[in-house]
Amino acid sequence: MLTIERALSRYTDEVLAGNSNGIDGIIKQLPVEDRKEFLESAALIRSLHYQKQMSKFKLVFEKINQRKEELYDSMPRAVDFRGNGDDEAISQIEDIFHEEFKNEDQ
Amino acid sequence: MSKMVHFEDWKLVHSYLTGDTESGRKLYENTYEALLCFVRKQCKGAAFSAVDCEEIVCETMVRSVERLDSFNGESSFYTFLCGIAKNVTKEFLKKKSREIPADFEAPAEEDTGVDLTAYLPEYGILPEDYVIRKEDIERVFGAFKQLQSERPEYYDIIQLRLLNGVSYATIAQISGESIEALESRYRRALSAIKKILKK
Repeated sequence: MLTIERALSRYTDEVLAGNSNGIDGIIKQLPVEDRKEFLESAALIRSLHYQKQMSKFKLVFEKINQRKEELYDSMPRAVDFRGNGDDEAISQIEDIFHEEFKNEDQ
Repeated sequence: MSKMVHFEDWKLVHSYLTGDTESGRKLYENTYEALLCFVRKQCKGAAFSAVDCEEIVCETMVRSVERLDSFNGESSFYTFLCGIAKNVTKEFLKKKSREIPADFEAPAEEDTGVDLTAYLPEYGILPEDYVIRKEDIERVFGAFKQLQSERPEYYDIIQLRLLNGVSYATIAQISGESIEALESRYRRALSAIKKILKK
Protein backbone atom coordinates (compact mmCIF):
# COMPACT_ATOMS: atom_id res chain seq x y z
CA MET A 1 0.00 0.00 0.00
CA LEU A 2 1.10 3.52 -0.77
CA THR A 3 0.69 6.54 1.45
CA ILE A 4 -1.14 9.40 -0.21
CA GLU A 5 1.97 11.60 0.10
CA ARG A 6 4.05 9.06 -1.79
CA ALA A 7 1.26 8.52 -4.32
CA LEU A 8 1.11 12.26 -5.08
CA SER A 9 4.85 12.33 -5.36
CA ARG A 10 4.85 9.45 -7.82
CA TYR A 11 2.02 10.92 -9.83
CA THR A 12 3.88 14.23 -10.07
CA ASP A 13 6.91 12.35 -11.42
CA GLU A 14 4.67 10.69 -14.01
CA VAL A 15 3.11 13.98 -15.10
CA LEU A 16 6.49 15.68 -15.35
CA ALA A 17 7.84 12.77 -17.40
CA GLY A 18 4.81 12.89 -19.70
CA ASN A 19 3.82 9.32 -18.88
CA SER A 20 0.21 9.02 -19.72
CA ASN A 21 -0.58 5.75 -17.99
CA GLY A 22 0.57 6.74 -14.56
CA ILE A 23 -2.56 7.26 -12.53
CA ASP A 24 -4.21 3.89 -12.93
CA GLY A 25 -1.44 1.87 -11.32
CA ILE A 26 -1.06 4.35 -8.48
CA ILE A 27 -4.76 4.38 -7.52
CA LYS A 28 -4.77 0.61 -7.19
CA GLN A 29 -2.06 0.82 -4.56
CA LEU A 30 -3.89 3.38 -2.44
CA PRO A 31 -6.23 2.61 0.45
CA VAL A 32 -9.82 3.16 -0.67
CA GLU A 33 -10.37 5.98 1.83
CA ASP A 34 -7.52 8.02 0.28
CA ARG A 35 -8.61 7.67 -3.32
CA LYS A 36 -11.01 10.62 -3.37
CA GLU A 37 -8.40 13.03 -2.04
CA PHE A 38 -5.84 11.61 -4.42
CA LEU A 39 -8.06 12.06 -7.47
CA GLU A 40 -8.90 15.63 -6.49
CA SER A 41 -5.23 16.45 -5.94
CA ALA A 42 -4.22 14.70 -9.15
CA ALA A 43 -6.62 16.95 -11.07
CA LEU A 44 -4.96 19.99 -9.49
CA ILE A 45 -1.51 18.68 -10.40
CA ARG A 46 -2.59 18.24 -14.00
CA SER A 47 -4.19 21.68 -14.09
CA LEU A 48 -1.13 23.44 -12.73
CA HIS A 49 1.14 21.47 -15.05
CA TYR A 50 -1.11 22.24 -18.01
CA GLN A 51 -1.07 25.95 -17.16
CA LYS A 52 2.72 25.86 -17.08
CA GLN A 53 2.80 24.08 -20.43
CA MET A 54 0.45 26.64 -21.91
CA SER A 55 2.64 29.50 -20.82
CA LYS A 56 5.43 27.77 -22.76
CA PHE A 57 3.04 27.29 -25.65
CA LYS A 58 2.43 31.06 -25.79
CA LEU A 59 6.10 31.57 -26.61
CA VAL A 60 5.99 28.78 -29.19
CA PHE A 61 2.94 30.30 -30.82
CA GLU A 62 4.65 33.67 -31.10
CA LYS A 63 7.33 31.96 -33.20
CA ILE A 64 4.71 30.09 -35.24
CA ASN A 65 2.83 33.26 -35.95
CA GLN A 66 5.97 35.16 -36.84
CA ARG A 67 6.86 32.46 -39.36
CA LYS A 68 3.34 32.48 -40.73
CA GLU A 69 3.49 36.23 -41.24
CA GLU A 70 6.86 35.93 -43.00
CA LEU A 71 5.57 33.25 -45.32
CA TYR A 72 2.01 34.18 -46.05
CA ASP A 73 1.19 37.71 -45.00
CA SER A 74 3.80 39.29 -47.24
CA MET A 75 2.27 37.71 -50.33
CA PRO A 76 0.01 39.97 -52.40
CA ARG A 77 -3.61 39.07 -51.84
CA ALA A 78 -6.09 38.54 -54.62
CA VAL A 79 -9.01 39.44 -52.38
CA ASP A 80 -9.97 43.14 -52.55
CA PHE A 81 -6.78 44.05 -54.37
CA ARG A 82 -8.53 47.12 -55.82
CA GLY A 83 -9.61 48.26 -52.37
CA ASN A 84 -6.05 47.95 -51.10
CA GLY A 85 -4.97 50.54 -53.67
CA ASP A 86 -2.18 48.40 -55.05
CA ASP A 87 -1.76 50.27 -58.37
CA GLU A 88 0.90 47.96 -59.68
CA ALA A 89 -1.23 44.87 -59.09
CA ILE A 90 -4.27 46.56 -60.65
CA SER A 91 -2.26 47.54 -63.69
CA GLN A 92 -0.89 43.99 -64.07
CA ILE A 93 -4.36 42.51 -63.80
CA GLU A 94 -5.72 44.98 -66.34
CA ASP A 95 -2.92 44.08 -68.77
CA ILE A 96 -3.60 40.37 -68.40
CA PHE A 97 -7.30 40.96 -68.85
CA HIS A 98 -6.84 42.98 -72.00
CA GLU A 99 -4.39 40.50 -73.40
CA GLU A 100 -6.76 37.64 -72.71
CA PHE A 101 -9.94 39.32 -73.89
CA LYS A 102 -8.68 41.82 -76.43
CA ASN A 103 -10.92 40.39 -79.15
CA GLU A 104 -14.01 41.09 -77.07
CA ASP A 105 -13.09 44.79 -76.76
CA GLN A 106 -13.26 45.23 -80.49
CA MET B 1 -10.23 10.10 -54.86
CA SER B 2 -8.99 11.70 -51.65
CA LYS B 3 -11.45 12.33 -48.87
CA MET B 4 -11.40 15.10 -46.30
CA VAL B 5 -12.25 13.52 -42.96
CA HIS B 6 -10.83 16.15 -40.62
CA PHE B 7 -12.89 19.10 -41.68
CA GLU B 8 -12.58 20.94 -38.34
CA ASP B 9 -8.79 20.92 -38.54
CA TRP B 10 -8.87 21.94 -42.18
CA LYS B 11 -11.24 24.81 -41.36
CA LEU B 12 -8.90 26.06 -38.62
CA VAL B 13 -5.91 25.91 -40.97
CA HIS B 14 -7.86 27.75 -43.66
CA SER B 15 -9.05 30.44 -41.20
CA TYR B 16 -5.55 30.87 -39.86
CA LEU B 17 -4.07 31.30 -43.32
CA THR B 18 -6.70 33.84 -44.21
CA GLY B 19 -5.85 36.00 -41.23
CA ASP B 20 -7.63 34.63 -38.16
CA THR B 21 -4.83 34.31 -35.58
CA GLU B 22 -7.19 32.86 -32.96
CA SER B 23 -7.87 29.86 -35.20
CA GLY B 24 -4.14 29.28 -35.44
CA ARG B 25 -3.76 29.48 -31.70
CA LYS B 26 -6.57 26.96 -31.22
CA LEU B 27 -5.17 24.66 -33.91
CA TYR B 28 -1.71 24.45 -32.37
CA GLU B 29 -2.82 24.61 -28.73
CA ASN B 30 -5.10 21.59 -29.25
CA THR B 31 -2.13 19.48 -30.29
CA TYR B 32 0.70 20.88 -28.15
CA GLU B 33 0.43 18.48 -25.18
CA ALA B 34 -0.26 15.45 -27.34
CA LEU B 35 2.66 16.24 -29.63
CA LEU B 36 4.92 16.62 -26.63
CA CYS B 37 3.83 13.15 -25.45
CA PHE B 38 4.46 11.77 -28.93
CA VAL B 39 7.95 13.27 -29.07
CA ARG B 40 8.82 12.02 -25.59
CA LYS B 41 7.69 8.56 -26.65
CA GLN B 42 9.81 8.74 -29.80
CA CYS B 43 12.84 9.98 -27.86
CA LYS B 44 12.61 7.30 -25.20
CA GLY B 45 16.01 5.73 -24.83
CA ALA B 46 17.82 8.57 -26.58
CA ALA B 47 18.62 10.38 -23.33
CA PHE B 48 16.85 13.53 -24.42
CA SER B 49 15.98 16.02 -21.73
CA ALA B 50 12.54 17.56 -21.26
CA VAL B 51 13.95 20.78 -22.71
CA ASP B 52 15.16 18.90 -25.82
CA CYS B 53 11.68 17.47 -26.35
CA GLU B 54 10.11 20.92 -26.00
CA GLU B 55 12.61 22.26 -28.50
CA ILE B 56 11.69 19.51 -30.96
CA VAL B 57 8.01 20.32 -30.58
CA CYS B 58 8.69 24.02 -31.09
CA GLU B 59 10.78 23.38 -34.21
CA THR B 60 8.13 20.96 -35.53
CA MET B 61 5.36 23.48 -35.12
CA VAL B 62 7.31 26.35 -36.64
CA ARG B 63 8.37 24.16 -39.55
CA SER B 64 4.81 22.97 -40.11
CA VAL B 65 3.82 26.52 -41.05
CA GLU B 66 5.71 26.11 -44.34
CA ARG B 67 3.42 23.22 -45.25
CA LEU B 68 0.15 24.57 -43.93
CA ASP B 69 -1.13 25.37 -47.40
CA SER B 70 -0.73 21.71 -48.35
CA PHE B 71 -2.80 20.43 -45.40
CA ASN B 72 -5.91 18.95 -46.96
CA GLY B 73 -7.73 17.41 -43.99
CA GLU B 74 -7.19 13.81 -45.12
CA SER B 75 -5.40 13.15 -41.84
CA SER B 76 -5.78 14.98 -38.54
CA PHE B 77 -3.59 18.01 -37.92
CA TYR B 78 -1.97 16.05 -35.08
CA THR B 79 -0.93 13.27 -37.48
CA PHE B 80 0.31 15.91 -39.92
CA LEU B 81 2.53 17.32 -37.16
CA CYS B 82 3.74 13.86 -36.09
CA GLY B 83 5.08 13.29 -39.60
CA ILE B 84 7.17 16.45 -39.35
CA ALA B 85 8.17 15.70 -35.75
CA LYS B 86 9.74 12.39 -36.82
CA ASN B 87 12.10 14.17 -39.18
CA VAL B 88 12.91 16.93 -36.70
CA THR B 89 13.67 14.29 -34.05
CA LYS B 90 16.00 12.44 -36.42
CA GLU B 91 17.82 15.67 -37.16
CA PHE B 92 18.17 16.36 -33.43
CA LEU B 93 19.56 12.88 -32.89
CA LYS B 94 22.10 13.38 -35.65
CA LYS B 95 23.02 16.81 -34.36
CA LYS B 96 23.63 15.42 -30.92
CA SER B 97 25.68 12.58 -32.40
CA ARG B 98 23.54 9.97 -30.81
CA GLU B 99 22.32 6.82 -32.42
CA ILE B 100 18.73 6.57 -33.47
CA PRO B 101 17.12 4.14 -31.03
CA ALA B 102 16.34 0.75 -32.46
CA ASP B 103 12.67 1.17 -31.63
CA PHE B 104 12.44 4.49 -33.47
CA GLU B 105 9.61 3.98 -35.87
CA ALA B 106 7.19 6.03 -37.81
CA PRO B 107 3.62 5.79 -36.50
CA ALA B 108 1.83 2.98 -38.26
CA GLU B 109 -0.74 3.85 -40.90
CA GLU B 110 -3.54 2.82 -38.57
CA ASP B 111 -2.46 5.62 -36.23
CA THR B 112 -3.79 8.10 -38.74
CA GLY B 113 -6.56 10.09 -37.22
CA VAL B 114 -5.92 8.74 -33.73
CA ASP B 115 -7.91 10.38 -30.98
CA LEU B 116 -5.71 12.77 -29.03
CA THR B 117 -6.92 11.30 -25.77
CA ALA B 118 -5.23 8.04 -26.74
CA TYR B 119 -2.02 9.74 -25.80
CA LEU B 120 -3.50 11.25 -22.65
CA PRO B 121 -5.61 8.45 -21.26
CA GLU B 122 -5.49 9.78 -17.73
CA TYR B 123 -8.02 12.35 -18.84
CA GLY B 124 -10.29 9.55 -19.85
CA ILE B 125 -10.20 7.28 -16.85
CA LEU B 126 -11.00 9.78 -14.14
CA PRO B 127 -14.57 10.04 -12.96
CA GLU B 128 -16.32 13.09 -14.44
CA ASP B 129 -16.34 14.96 -11.12
CA TYR B 130 -12.60 14.89 -10.74
CA VAL B 131 -11.69 16.14 -14.17
CA ILE B 132 -11.08 19.86 -14.06
CA ARG B 133 -12.38 21.55 -17.16
CA LYS B 134 -10.09 23.66 -19.27
CA GLU B 135 -11.93 26.84 -18.29
CA ASP B 136 -11.25 26.08 -14.61
CA ILE B 137 -7.51 25.80 -15.08
CA GLU B 138 -6.96 29.53 -14.74
CA ARG B 139 -9.02 29.53 -11.56
CA VAL B 140 -6.76 26.81 -10.13
CA PHE B 141 -3.71 28.82 -11.10
CA GLY B 142 -5.23 31.89 -9.45
CA ALA B 143 -5.74 29.92 -6.23
CA PHE B 144 -2.14 28.73 -6.42
CA LYS B 145 -0.89 32.31 -6.82
CA GLN B 146 -2.95 33.29 -3.78
CA LEU B 147 -0.78 30.93 -1.75
CA GLN B 148 2.22 33.13 -2.45
CA SER B 149 1.04 35.71 0.07
CA GLU B 150 -1.05 33.48 2.34
CA ARG B 151 1.15 30.38 2.65
CA PRO B 152 4.51 31.00 0.95
CA GLU B 153 5.89 27.63 2.12
CA TYR B 154 3.08 25.89 0.21
CA TYR B 155 3.60 28.10 -2.83
CA ASP B 156 7.32 27.34 -2.86
CA ILE B 157 6.99 23.56 -2.70
CA ILE B 158 4.54 23.49 -5.64
CA GLN B 159 6.64 25.95 -7.59
CA LEU B 160 9.83 23.95 -7.05
CA ARG B 161 8.51 20.41 -7.34
CA LEU B 162 5.74 20.64 -9.93
CA LEU B 163 6.38 23.76 -11.96
CA ASN B 164 10.18 23.76 -11.98
CA GLY B 165 10.53 19.98 -11.81
CA VAL B 166 13.14 20.00 -9.04
CA SER B 167 13.43 16.59 -7.35
CA TYR B 168 12.61 16.13 -3.67
CA ALA B 169 16.17 14.91 -3.14
CA THR B 170 17.55 18.22 -4.39
CA ILE B 171 15.07 20.29 -2.40
CA ALA B 172 15.88 18.24 0.70
CA GLN B 173 19.58 18.83 0.15
CA ILE B 174 19.08 22.59 -0.13
CA SER B 175 16.55 23.02 2.66
CA GLY B 176 17.95 20.42 5.05
CA GLU B 177 14.49 18.86 5.47
CA SER B 178 13.58 15.24 5.00
CA ILE B 179 11.90 14.02 1.83
CA GLU B 180 8.93 12.81 3.92
CA ALA B 181 8.44 16.31 5.34
CA LEU B 182 8.52 17.79 1.84
CA GLU B 183 6.05 15.23 0.50
CA SER B 184 3.73 15.98 3.38
CA ARG B 185 3.93 19.73 2.72
CA TYR B 186 3.21 19.13 -0.95
CA ARG B 187 0.04 17.26 -0.02
CA ARG B 188 -1.03 20.03 2.38
CA ALA B 189 -0.29 22.65 -0.27
CA LEU B 190 -2.62 20.91 -2.72
CA SER B 191 -5.30 20.69 -0.02
CA ALA B 192 -4.88 24.44 0.60
CA ILE B 193 -5.60 25.13 -3.08
CA LYS B 194 -8.74 23.00 -2.83
CA LYS B 195 -9.88 25.01 0.17
CA ILE B 196 -9.37 28.31 -1.69
CA LEU B 197 -11.33 26.96 -4.65
CA LYS B 198 -14.22 25.89 -2.42
CA LYS B 199 -14.54 29.33 -0.78
